[in-house]
Amino acid sequence: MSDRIELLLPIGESTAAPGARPQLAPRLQSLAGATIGIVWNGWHCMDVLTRELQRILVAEHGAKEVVALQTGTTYPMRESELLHARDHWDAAIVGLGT
Amino acid sequence: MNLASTRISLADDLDAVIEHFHRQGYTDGLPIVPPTEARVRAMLGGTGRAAHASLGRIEPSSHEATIEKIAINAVMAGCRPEYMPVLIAAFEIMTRREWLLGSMQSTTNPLTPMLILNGPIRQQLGVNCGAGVMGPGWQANATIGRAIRLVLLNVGGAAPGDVDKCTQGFVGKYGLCVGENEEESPWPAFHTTRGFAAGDSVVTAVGVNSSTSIHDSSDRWEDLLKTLTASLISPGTANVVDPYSTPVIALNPLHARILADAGYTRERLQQHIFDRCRIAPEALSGRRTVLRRGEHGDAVFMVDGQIPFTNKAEQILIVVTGSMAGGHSCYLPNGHFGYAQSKQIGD
Repeated sequence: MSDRIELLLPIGESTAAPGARPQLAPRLQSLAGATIGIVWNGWHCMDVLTRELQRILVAEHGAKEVVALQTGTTYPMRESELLHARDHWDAAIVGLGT
Repeated sequence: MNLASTRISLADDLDAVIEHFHRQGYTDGLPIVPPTEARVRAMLGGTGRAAHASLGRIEPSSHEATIEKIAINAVMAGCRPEYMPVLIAAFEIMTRREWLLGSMQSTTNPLTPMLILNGPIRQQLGVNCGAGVMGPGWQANATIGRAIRLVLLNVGGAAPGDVDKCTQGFVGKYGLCVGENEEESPWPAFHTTRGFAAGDSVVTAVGVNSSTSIHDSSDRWEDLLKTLTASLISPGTANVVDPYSTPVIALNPLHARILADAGYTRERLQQHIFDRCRIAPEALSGRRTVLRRGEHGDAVFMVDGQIPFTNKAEQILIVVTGSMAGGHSCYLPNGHFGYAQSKQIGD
């Protein structure tokens, strides 16, 4: 009798059927010259951090432009906002706020 | 059918296995049932869905909530296989984009999904709808609620204190699953107000904050309404700053019957709360006033210069649960995330 026990991992893995997995956009090798979006939900004091992120991305990483998009706290980005981001941003920082 | 999850090999010692899962952050702090392949396959036998099928992504990690992963965490939680359809229906709700699960997973609010079960499923699974309904003692309630939380932790990545920034949390974050006490309720079952037939088995998922006790042992409906109304007026609760919220008023059957005997239907009670539970704008702090600005570009919703409990009376969810003993009901605020949605439970 084995003194080992085999268990299945409970954490998320890419175990979905291949057709169900979305394709991620290619990662940027550099932020230089990029237009970056920051999506935040208007939560307390996030505006302060957003301004600092904008400064850092331009001053230290050479981003061309950093756009801050404030959504509501009770709904995700609107379809029109998602499409605009896809068409005009090179990268995005999302999920900020509470 | 091959199971796709990675396998780990550990010393076949229960204490060592539990310790390993604790150290890896796979638990809620309580011991788990080791998810062997045999146990997971048995759990998968509780549903006709394919193991690799995905119900959607669990934010913030964006990993897929596959039937297999739900089964693994259900084993850990101590579920029976027959609980799987409830879990599946619940996650089909919670992975909907508009439910904002990702925000709920990382918020500082003491927020957790609450499952409300209606219909024959309650008897089929032995779901507690009576005494101590939000407390310990019933395997179905305890483990279904716990399985939900373990999936949110392990598949969604919401590690407490890390990704999950909840300031204090509350006990509902171990799991919160209740059955409506339809049999002792004076009103039609809650799920029939949401478009389902009385004979349907339905789960409603709603994100709730820690509960507020509403205690009044009077048998006079006037007293009860006075206490109820006053208890709901609280500038610090989530729904005050979110007019689209779906707060839960969990009335015990005794309170419900006192009100029903006085002529209150569920709808009339909703309207009463909407009409009477108003907060003066000056009762809110400056910051909460800012938060209450129109989320959808609308002007702040006010009625006669007062802030109502919700935008519409029908947003107030009145569920009858608990026992007839004692005048104890409670209110569970909802706001910002996890507006109530209901789904029929399939296989």
